[in-house]
Amino acid sequence: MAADGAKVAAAGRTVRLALVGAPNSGKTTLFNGLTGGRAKVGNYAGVTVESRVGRFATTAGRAVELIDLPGVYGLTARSSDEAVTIEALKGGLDGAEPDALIVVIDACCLRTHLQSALQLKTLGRPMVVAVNMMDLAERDGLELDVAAIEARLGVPVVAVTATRSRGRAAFLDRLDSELSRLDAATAPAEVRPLPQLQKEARAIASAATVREAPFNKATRAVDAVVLHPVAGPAIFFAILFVIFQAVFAWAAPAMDGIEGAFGALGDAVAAATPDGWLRSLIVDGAIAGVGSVLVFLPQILIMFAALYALEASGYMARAAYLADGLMRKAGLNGRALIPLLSGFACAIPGMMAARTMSEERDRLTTILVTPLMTCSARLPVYTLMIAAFIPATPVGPFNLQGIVLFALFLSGILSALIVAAILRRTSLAGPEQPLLMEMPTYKLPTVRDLLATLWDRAGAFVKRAGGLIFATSVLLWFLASYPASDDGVRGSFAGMIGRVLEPVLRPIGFNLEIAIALVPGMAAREVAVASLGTVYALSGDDDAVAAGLTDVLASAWELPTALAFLAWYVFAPMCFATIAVARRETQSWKWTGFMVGYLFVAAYVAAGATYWIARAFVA
Amino acid sequence: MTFDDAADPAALQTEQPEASSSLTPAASAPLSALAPGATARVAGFAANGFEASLREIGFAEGDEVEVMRRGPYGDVIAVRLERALVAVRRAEADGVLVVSG
Repeated sequence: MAADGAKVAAAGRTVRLALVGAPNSGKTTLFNGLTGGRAKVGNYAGVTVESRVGRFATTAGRAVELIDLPGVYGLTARSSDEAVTIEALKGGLDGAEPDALIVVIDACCLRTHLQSALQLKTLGRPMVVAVNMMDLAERDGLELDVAAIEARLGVPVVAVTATRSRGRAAFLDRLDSELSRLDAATAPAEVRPLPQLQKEARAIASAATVREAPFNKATRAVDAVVLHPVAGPAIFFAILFVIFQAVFAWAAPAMDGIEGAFGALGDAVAAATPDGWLRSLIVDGAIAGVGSVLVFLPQILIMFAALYALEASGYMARAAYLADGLMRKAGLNGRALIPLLSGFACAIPGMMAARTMSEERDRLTTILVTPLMTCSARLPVYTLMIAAFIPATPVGPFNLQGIVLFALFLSGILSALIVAAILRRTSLAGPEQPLLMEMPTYKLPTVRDLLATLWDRAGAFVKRAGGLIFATSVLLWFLASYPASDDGVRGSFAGMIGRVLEPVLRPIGFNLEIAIALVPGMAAREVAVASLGTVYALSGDDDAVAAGLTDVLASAWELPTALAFLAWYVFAPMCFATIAVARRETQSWKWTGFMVGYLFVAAYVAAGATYWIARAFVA
Repeated sequence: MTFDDAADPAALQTEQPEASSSLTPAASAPLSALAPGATARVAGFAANGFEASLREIGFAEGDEVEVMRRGPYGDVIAVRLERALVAVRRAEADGVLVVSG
């Protein structure tokens, strides 16, 4: 870096700081608090680990670039995720060498978290230790002498409450003065065996603890119920069930609003443009296609909000604990529940969350079954079909639509467990990884973190709707409109492609419109909905867009076809992004091909079985 | 609740990790055998391959542990480690040797 005596924060230069800490130490909350939640997801060249990069200015106006790295307990990598963090800290990853580290430790667990701070000192990088969650520690009656930690640790130590602006302001003030003092050339601490560091960590913690407090009473009381062998799993399922009800009930008004707005927009454009191909392109192609997908934004946001709340409150780790027994039967580990539950939002973060797993075969199995979890892109398909074909009959306090959605989610989970069990007993048999997982103290999720998450997710979804889905809608509009024929869509290019597929799909109850929609639908699951919107908008009645796709399908499809379509989507790997990420994460075309293959076979068999069984009942 | 070397014979042996498993069986028992609700102190580690992982997550000689709950199928245990809560499987918990007190 620079010559001896150079300071980290030379005038006029952006300082690059890396946030390091154990999982659940509140790193991300601090990151969002400092940067205002605005971050871009960065990737290191070659290794593609997800790390968020944001900017903020200190009180004195010093520009800081902040990198949020995956959590680590120390400097021994047990998973690929940790390996990348450690490599980045050592400066081995190009383009992202941090000038200094902000080591975040939880005030409630000084004894254990200080040992990783001691380990990080051996890196020889300037560092500031942030003792986080001071408010929670004080609430518990714990009193800490931060100056005593600093004196014994030999690096600047600052108390911080990442969730509050006042708690961060004091931190920013200190950071400013510390940054101007930090030496770029810091002598690395001597590497010592872990037992020795542990002893020192505990000595520091004892010296810094002015008043000791018992284990958090509220957490103890809540866990007596939440971790109960019988009540615990019941609560877990109740929470999942309520989430699915919420996805339906709470999102409805917002969805009606969006649907109405797109209908009005279509009408307005239709009135303002002359009849012809341009009007058709805008109204039938772009508006019908994009509108039919954007309408699901409220549901997707509710899903992400719920998952965020589970994670941030500390419940997710409890769910993993409760699920360990069941997951073990599937040859997996309770920890795999976290990637799998993330898969409810999107398979991609789910597959990437599997990086925290230390056993390669466990990780591979988790990646291969994650696409079976019902991701938010399936929601548009599921809810469209459910709204069109399942009556909202009240069943006790719930309604039939919510119950069907829950059943679809359950079939995804069950198939994931079955496939995992088969894989772990055959080609991916291998040692089990340890569970060993910290269950964090319960805390209230913060509004800022929630909004930052939702903002990221909504942005990504709208970008997809405006980009990929807009493009495929326009392409499909072209394919479905030309060459113009008396047969409508049937005689177009799309119709020709559809007719090639139709013989294969006919036995499982799919009609020509579905065959047409499935082709662009390979790009992403929700595209199929957009495609159906475009296909039906073009197939005749101009009211189709205004009336909404739901009503059109309800009259055009038989119930067995609709159910077969739902069953298809429980399995079908209709998402290029997922396939690409599976390839990247497994580093194997063989396993990626296996995943795509088994999912298609399962989709075909499930749709066929559903169709014929439903027909037998309906007829 | 201060950390006192003299009061804790196990802590004196941390400089020779191989000695930690040679404690007399009468003095220590595996954490997995601890009754729910009872507290104990970590005395050392059994040589079952989990020591490094257990230390990394924070188990160390002298720490107070308490079995809070056993999981739905009895194989997973929720352990209070000082002021933190850790989920461990029985096989892993066998690696932590504790003395009551």
